[in-house]
Amino acid sequence: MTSDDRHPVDQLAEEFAGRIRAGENPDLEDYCRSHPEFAELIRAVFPPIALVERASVKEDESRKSPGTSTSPAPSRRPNTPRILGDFEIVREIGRGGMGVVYKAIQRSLNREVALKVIGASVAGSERQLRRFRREAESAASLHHSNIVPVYGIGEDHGLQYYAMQLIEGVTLAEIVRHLQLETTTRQVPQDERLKSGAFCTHDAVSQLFGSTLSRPPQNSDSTTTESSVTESSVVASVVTPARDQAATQLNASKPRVSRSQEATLRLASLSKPGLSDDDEPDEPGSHEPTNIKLSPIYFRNVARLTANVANALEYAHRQGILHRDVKPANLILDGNGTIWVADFGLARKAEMEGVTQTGEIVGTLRYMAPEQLEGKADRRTDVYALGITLYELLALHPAVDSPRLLSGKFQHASIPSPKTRRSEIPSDLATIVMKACSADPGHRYTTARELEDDLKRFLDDRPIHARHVTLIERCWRWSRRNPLIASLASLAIGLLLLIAIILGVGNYRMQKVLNDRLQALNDRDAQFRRAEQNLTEKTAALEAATREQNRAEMNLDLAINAFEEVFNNIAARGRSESLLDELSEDDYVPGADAILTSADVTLLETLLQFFDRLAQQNSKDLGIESAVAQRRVGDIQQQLGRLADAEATYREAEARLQSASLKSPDSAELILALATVHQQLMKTAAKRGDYNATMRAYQQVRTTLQSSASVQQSDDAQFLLATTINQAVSLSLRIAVEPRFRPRNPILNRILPNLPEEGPPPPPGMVQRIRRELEASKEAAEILKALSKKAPSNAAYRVALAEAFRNESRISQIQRDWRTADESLNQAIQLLEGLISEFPGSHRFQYELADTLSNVVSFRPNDMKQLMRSQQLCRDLVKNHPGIPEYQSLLATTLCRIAGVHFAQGRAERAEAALKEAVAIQESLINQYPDVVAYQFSLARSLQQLAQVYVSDNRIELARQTYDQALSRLEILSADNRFPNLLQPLLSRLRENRKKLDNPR
Amino acid sequence: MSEPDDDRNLLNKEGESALAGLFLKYRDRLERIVSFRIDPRIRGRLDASDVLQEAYLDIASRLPVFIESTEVSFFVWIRQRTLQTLIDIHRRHFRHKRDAGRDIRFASSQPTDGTSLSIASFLVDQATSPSQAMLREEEMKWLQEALNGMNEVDREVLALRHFEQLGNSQVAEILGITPTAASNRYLRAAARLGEIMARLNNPDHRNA
Repeated sequence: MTSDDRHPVDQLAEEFAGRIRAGENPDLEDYCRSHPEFAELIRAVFPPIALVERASVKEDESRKSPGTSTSPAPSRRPNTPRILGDFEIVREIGRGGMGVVYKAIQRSLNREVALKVIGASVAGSERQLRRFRREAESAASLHHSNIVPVYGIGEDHGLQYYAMQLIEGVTLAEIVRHLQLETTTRQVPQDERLKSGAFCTHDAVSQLFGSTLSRPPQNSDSTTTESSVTESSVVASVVTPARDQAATQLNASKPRVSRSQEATLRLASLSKPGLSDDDEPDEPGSHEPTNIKLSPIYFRNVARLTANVANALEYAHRQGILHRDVKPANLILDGNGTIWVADFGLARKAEMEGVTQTGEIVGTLRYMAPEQLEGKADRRTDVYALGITLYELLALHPAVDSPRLLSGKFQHASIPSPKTRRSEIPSDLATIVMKACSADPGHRYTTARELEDDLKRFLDDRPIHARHVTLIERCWRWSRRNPLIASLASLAIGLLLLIAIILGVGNYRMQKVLNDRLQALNDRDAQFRRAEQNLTEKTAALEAATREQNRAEMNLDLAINAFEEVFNNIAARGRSESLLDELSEDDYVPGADAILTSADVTLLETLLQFFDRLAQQNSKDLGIESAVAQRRVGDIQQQLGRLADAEATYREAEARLQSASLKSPDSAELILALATVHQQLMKTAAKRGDYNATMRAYQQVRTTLQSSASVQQSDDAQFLLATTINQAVSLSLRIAVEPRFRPRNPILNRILPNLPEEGPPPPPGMVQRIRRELEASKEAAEILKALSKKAPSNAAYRVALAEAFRNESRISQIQRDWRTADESLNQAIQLLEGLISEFPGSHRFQYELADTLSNVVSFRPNDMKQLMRSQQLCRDLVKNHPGIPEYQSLLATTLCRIAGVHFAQGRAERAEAALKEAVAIQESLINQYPDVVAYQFSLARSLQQLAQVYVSDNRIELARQTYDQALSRLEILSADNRFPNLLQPLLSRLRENRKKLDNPR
Repeated sequence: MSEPDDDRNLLNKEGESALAGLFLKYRDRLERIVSFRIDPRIRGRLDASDVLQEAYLDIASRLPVFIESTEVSFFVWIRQRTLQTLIDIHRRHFRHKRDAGRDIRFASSQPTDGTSLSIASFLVDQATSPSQAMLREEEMKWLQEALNGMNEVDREVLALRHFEQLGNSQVAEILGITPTAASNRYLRAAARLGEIMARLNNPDHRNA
């Protein structure tokens, strides 16, 4: 220190403190004598200074003196050793997470031991103590030539301690640090290395570069390694009888001093021969990183040591003990070239969780497998940690950088190959490392033995079992591990762009139509714009995300949500009861595919791709997500009318969920997901017209939901059950029921307006089935009533309840129970009316009500009042939302039904007017959406109905033209043979009627 | 003891390539400082070298700022950056624990409070060393009590000089005062500590 502006006594005090720091005991009076003018001040300040300095002096011993950065050189403690139980402390040799390690003498056996001591007064001691005891207990049961033996555990002076064999050696962490310096900065001067402080680490390093490890020691000598004990840094010498022989042999073959000299030579030479081949010249003082290559023998030695550790781990694993904290700092290389595993079983699951929460594991985090962060650990967790350790030894660089470790959410996802750090690492060894530290436990060696075997194969120059993972495969695996990030991120960007374009085109088309009609903005347009904007934003976010991976997961979630929105929008279109009735013929339950535009199909296809990829993320950690994505694939396939594909997909999703639920049978999420899959299987079966399969799937939904009592009672499960019943009843009323026992098809009513009473009663089997369905429907209504009571503001419950009432009404119609049918229908209407007044802004409820009212005609053929109300609702909807085709379609349907009533009541003119309006609406819809089969179909029916009116009015030529018009449309449609079940019956009926006109009786 | 000007000259001349070497030179002192300042509750789990590793990255990224516009010496600057890194790590560690109610000490921590806490835990930690546990228990207790009774600046000066083992000129730089003032303050603090200790040692004066 150069400053002379200090108080003279300060300078004296500094010297005084410095001597205390150095372990001396300077005399205060000496200072007073030599500086009498300051004697008073010296007497005042030196004693407290001495006290403060002594308070911090012990710390000094465990620290390194400045300048020798590689290895600490603790001075011997000036104080007399303390006694702890049977042990006499010699000195501190290291500090770990749990406490301080001392070299000590076990007095009863007169042997040197390492004593790990934990202070009772350390903060958080309760937890640390528990961990400490457990560590000792589990470690004491292990006996393996590479595991540090634990002698015993004790407590004295309030201090917990355990005694273990004293290992003279150096931790791999120190070796790595030493080599990092050697190979990158060369900051440590040669002479510095020969100082005692760096001695031991250096020695160990030299072993790694020599063939010492691979060769058994040859001679015998009686020197022990006490010199190293006194001088070495952290870990002291092994002097157990069992190892005496080997230790002395080694010392003879490689005397200490010459060894260290050799080490220096080794390291000096390692820089040159390694470089001589192809690399840049080795300039002294250069700070270029990794400009020194490691020799092949180093890698072989590292592989051998790692194989030994793997062997030790395998042994412990077989005893049922996991290490849980394998890391370079816990692996000690001794003077014989033996590697020792220390600190067995440090952390247990429950504690890890607590520790993880408080983030107290940063020091060890680097070596922790991803699953360990979630509190899970098995033998593969140790394999991972050993893999990361091996990585560090090979690359001399941590596999995961500190900033990433500490950046909150830690992803192990992309550990680069160690060869990217050091190209000289043997490929096979790099492959072994990458396999061992796969983030997915399923990709790792399943046991430590497998890792050991592969390392031995490498050492024997035999082909290893781990496959070299190509870049592509790594990307693929990464995408499997990170389904929400990797390939999907780019796919999602592509899809979002595509969807944005499709929506944009739709938007453009809508605007064109609107301009033609001089209409202002409409809902659909705004909807498109919002969706477009939304997607554009999400696309941008995703693009940013690929640059910034840690945000990608979140953004991909956004994308998934966007996709689901798109899907739900499309799926909602097929929901119109009226339209379903229009399309319903014989045993055919129309698929929603008939309602799709070609843009919808394109959208669905792209979504299908996306969810299919998502579902392929079949790794265990993704069980439920991938199964749900798979179900989504099935939904889309179903929507697209690919029923067989959909069913196969659902079955696979079902299998995945079932295997996942074996592990956690009470998981609500799993149960609901499984029930939803069964629900979809039910719909698929119904669409195939398979009544029995439909009912089986329906029963499965019930069984699944009943599998857990707690889940069964949850609102979600109850709601799922009720909607499933609704669907089951509604589907069952459409399939495998003779047309005359079905709820009246309003179109048949129009054409042949039979009074319902005149029909025959249903056959006995049918009666039973109907009764069952009525009971089920009542159950659904009860559930939904209860739910609505609990959550009166939840509109979804009430809409579903209205649907249940509607079903009851339909069943009652089949039972000829007109009064009940009427009551149920009124209840449904009331509910919907209530919703409309409660949510006046929501057109959805108006639409539902209009749809319901439009169907009244099916059993109250003359109820013009309800039909007119429906018509009014539809007109309002169309007026307020002119861009939404569903509303126009429903208006046309309602007009046709009104026409049917007019016609039945003999008002042909009014019927004709209504039908003409319906035809005009439908033609305009077809102009906008030429590819929607349902609109074509509806138009054909309206035309057929119109022709009937003409026939009754004896305008035969007009009727003929109208039939031809309808036929030509249907024939064009049937050419691509997409909906034979739907088209053929109508076509043949039309042809028949047309023929009648040509050949009037 | 290094010459701060040399450090700066080296950095001016060689830029970032000299950083690793310089950091290495001070690494042990920084490690000591981190060990002293680290929150006792995470001392067992957070290794000082991890803190240093993170601090190094921070320092490397801010090196141009240091070269361009920082007045203090290199060592004082990297000490400051290292302690800031430590503070950030503390924040991350205790972010989720606020509601646990155990965090009052940390939540209210001013730098000087932190110092007294560091000293206290350091002294407690000393007790875990078996050889010191018995010998100096009483002494440590008094010292801790005495330090608690001091004002913050005095306590800080003593901590810097003895626990962090900094020189007077560095202390002056850190505290932003002249070396003379730092020196006088140090001696005054030591004298006050002596007075408090004497009072504590003498039961007759304890209530005075």
